[in-house]
Amino acid sequence: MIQLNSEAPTLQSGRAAPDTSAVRPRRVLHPSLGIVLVLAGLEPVTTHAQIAPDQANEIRNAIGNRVEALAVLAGDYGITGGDFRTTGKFEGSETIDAEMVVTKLGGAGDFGMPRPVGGIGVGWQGRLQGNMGYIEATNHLHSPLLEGDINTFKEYAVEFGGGARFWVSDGLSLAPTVLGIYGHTSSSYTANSPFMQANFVRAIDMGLINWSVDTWTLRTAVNIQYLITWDRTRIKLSSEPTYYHTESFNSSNANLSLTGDSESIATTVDVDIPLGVELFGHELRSGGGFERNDFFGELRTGLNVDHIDEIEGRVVLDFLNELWKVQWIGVSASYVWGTSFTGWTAGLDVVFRF
Amino acid sequence: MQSVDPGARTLALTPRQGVTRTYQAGAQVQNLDRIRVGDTVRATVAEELTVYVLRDGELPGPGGMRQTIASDARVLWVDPSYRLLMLRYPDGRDETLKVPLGVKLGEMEAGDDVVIRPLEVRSLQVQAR
Repeated sequence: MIQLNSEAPTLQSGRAAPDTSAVRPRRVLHPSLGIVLVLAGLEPVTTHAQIAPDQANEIRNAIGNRVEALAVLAGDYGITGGDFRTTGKFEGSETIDAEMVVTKLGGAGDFGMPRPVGGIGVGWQGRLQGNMGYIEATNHLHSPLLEGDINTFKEYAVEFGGGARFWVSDGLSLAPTVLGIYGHTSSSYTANSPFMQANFVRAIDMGLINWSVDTWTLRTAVNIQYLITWDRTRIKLSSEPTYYHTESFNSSNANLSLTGDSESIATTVDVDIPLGVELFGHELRSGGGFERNDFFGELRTGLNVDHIDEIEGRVVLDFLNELWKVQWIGVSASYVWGTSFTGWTAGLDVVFRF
Repeated sequence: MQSVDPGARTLALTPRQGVTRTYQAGAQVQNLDRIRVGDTVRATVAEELTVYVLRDGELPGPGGMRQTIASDARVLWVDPSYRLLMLRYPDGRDETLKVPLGVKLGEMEAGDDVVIRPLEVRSLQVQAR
């Protein structure tokens, strides 16, 4: 026989899903990310030369990669963000002086209690995921041909979709999801170099600069998650292979249209530790984790990174079943690094559980 | 409000959902003599939940004796990490409780029986008469 005391149970009633995944607003980020320059590869023989057709095609391909990367980076909740700094480890002779501000708000979570699927011992929950994001990236170009030029990208993106999580045991679950991302990308170019001043109008006509494009992206993924409870500590291991297909459907320039395919695999370890002490009437919890995002296809070339690693720590107060659907409120910080940059995030950490 | 005894400082309350239980009025509850049967009140109450782990449907007692218990609810689900205990009452209603620190929820599991013992009323406010 085990006894427990509970005050005013009628004031604490509610339902809570028995897993740790939750709708979680992404931190508002203020990053700067060095992305390899679309136009930096332009190398005509002399500064009087014009942009050759094959060069234009090459640039357009690079723009396509960039647009897909920006749409996914801004629109997808699953891709990590951060306050990035370039490390200069780019290929070739180009150097990057770039600043990028990313603001993201979104979440992903399973809702309700698992319901049985037939009589096969499998439970399922609905899953929703959504995000909205804005990126403003300013690239100061440093190459013999384009020295002093400034290229600015802006990206608005919205993502929404869902799926279901299937529990095959108390710890192991799989969640296939289908989502759509709408993205609007625009480019604005300031020509200070003699070459681009001479070619400015032609570059606009060719759709290389000062363009805008609307895109849609189909995102399909399977989240594979394993939950371990050790004493009161929760350890979540997950992997999420994701496929993206992006196409443009509206463009300011007839020469600019794109279609692209990318893949990513997010591998995550998260530890959630109750500390057994209360602050302001709520239990303190600590935790953190490691996440690695591997990129493939045009996402890799557009961002010019093979993978992004992120290590996160947090201190939060437990509000679960005490304040609406809030699971915790606290602060968190993370360090992010990749092939060609490092970065960090810090901010308010609020998690909801439905 | 089903009944009130100001002398004994006891109250019998029926919640919107659930069964009538009799509570002792806490020291902080005053003016009990103004409470009438039939009043609708908002009450903060303390209750003690006892979770019984049954063996073969019966409760092991001292000396090997077995006894049956009248269960008020059944454990539906336990989250020891976030100190949550979900109960299902006989009328099908579910309720999730946040239990205090120190309660060993890890020793409970779905299917355990629960007995609820009313303790005291800690605050009382008449809503309608």
